[in-house]
Amino acid sequence: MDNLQAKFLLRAARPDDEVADPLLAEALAQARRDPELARWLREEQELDALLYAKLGEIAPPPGLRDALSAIPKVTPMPARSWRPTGWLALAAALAVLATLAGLLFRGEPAFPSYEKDLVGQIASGQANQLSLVDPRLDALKAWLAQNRAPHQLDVPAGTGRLPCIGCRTFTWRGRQIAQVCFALDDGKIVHLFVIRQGDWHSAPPEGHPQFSSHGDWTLASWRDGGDTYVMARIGSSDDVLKLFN
Amino acid sequence: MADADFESVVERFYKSLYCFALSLARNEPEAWDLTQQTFTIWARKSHQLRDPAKAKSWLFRTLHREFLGNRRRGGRAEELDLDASHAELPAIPSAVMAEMDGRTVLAALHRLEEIFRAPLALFYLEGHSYREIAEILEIPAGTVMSRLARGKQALREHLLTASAATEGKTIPFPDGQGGPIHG
Repeated sequence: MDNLQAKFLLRAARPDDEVADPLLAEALAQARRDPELARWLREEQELDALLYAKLGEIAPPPGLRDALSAIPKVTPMPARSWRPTGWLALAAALAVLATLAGLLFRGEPAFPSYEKDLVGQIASGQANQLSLVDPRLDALKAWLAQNRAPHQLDVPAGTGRLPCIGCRTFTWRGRQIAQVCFALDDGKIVHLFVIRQGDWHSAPPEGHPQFSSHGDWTLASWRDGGDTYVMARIGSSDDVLKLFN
Repeated sequence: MADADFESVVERFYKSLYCFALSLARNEPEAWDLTQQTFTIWARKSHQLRDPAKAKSWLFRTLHREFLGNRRRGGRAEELDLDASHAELPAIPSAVMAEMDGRTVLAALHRLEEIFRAPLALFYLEGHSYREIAEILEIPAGTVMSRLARGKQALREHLLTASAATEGKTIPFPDGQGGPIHG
């Protein structure tokens, strides 16, 4: 090993480790024997230490630490504690129903099958796997826009007053869906899905919600222009209605 | 995951993860998002990690994967051109380094190609060894060594250029070999 090869290896070495690495050990041994190489290594490590210290001066922006603390520590919906086998069975049944609906209509399935699929996503925990966690609705809209999801959201007044948790987007049966989650005072979560285009069978009405129940969940669905909205929360239709006022 | 456990991991790593994200993304909003995405995934999946000692590597690897995923979705992947470099690195006078702050070093790091930024940032953050860097970036250890060597060379050249630009000096770099600063 000549000094050029030794320098190549030693540039990847740290002063406090690597001695167990045979290649580095040989290069380090050479540096101990060769005063010129030893001087070069010392200067190299001094500069590395200085760069390490300089980069350590970079401080994260204010607010990041708090935003990280606000991340839900576990899958926020306690789906597993709500009779998991029942929910899994429901999700499986919903998948079968969705398939049957697809076969029956051979094209656009009826809207209720979308609702059931969405409940299935919530029950499975999929709906909690948010891509962006941020309390600012504007930031969520911007992220959805960047990711080509529906983003011009017309959030009902009562829901808009709730703190946001985060959002994600996913494709379902060829449609781009945006999902935004809001936190209720009691720790429960409101899921708002916005589905681009709504030309399907049994579409929900324009401008005012229709309600449906799926186990503990109540869904409100309505159309607004070209988008279809589905809002889901645990509770009665009265509870959901409060989210509009 | 218990809140206390999560908080202790955040407290321990969020600064260096943010710096790593900033070195990759080169802008603060994306660095914020990457850091947040990483801890969101950690909150959801950390229970799958059997060896708690691997938390550091896991976090940095996850952040790097998220960055690459974002780049792929955005079609902004950078090309690489790699040879193992045996060239001598330009020397940087200690007086020059003493005058620089962290932002200057970061700006010089940002000027490097992505393939050099990631290993160098990891080398200078959290004291990652080249083997740890290989594990995080999921590339061979020899490739890490090569990228560290070339990345260090390029970083020093950028630091000298930045210093000269500040002071209005001319710096000759004959064949990339570096040399003294002439006022």
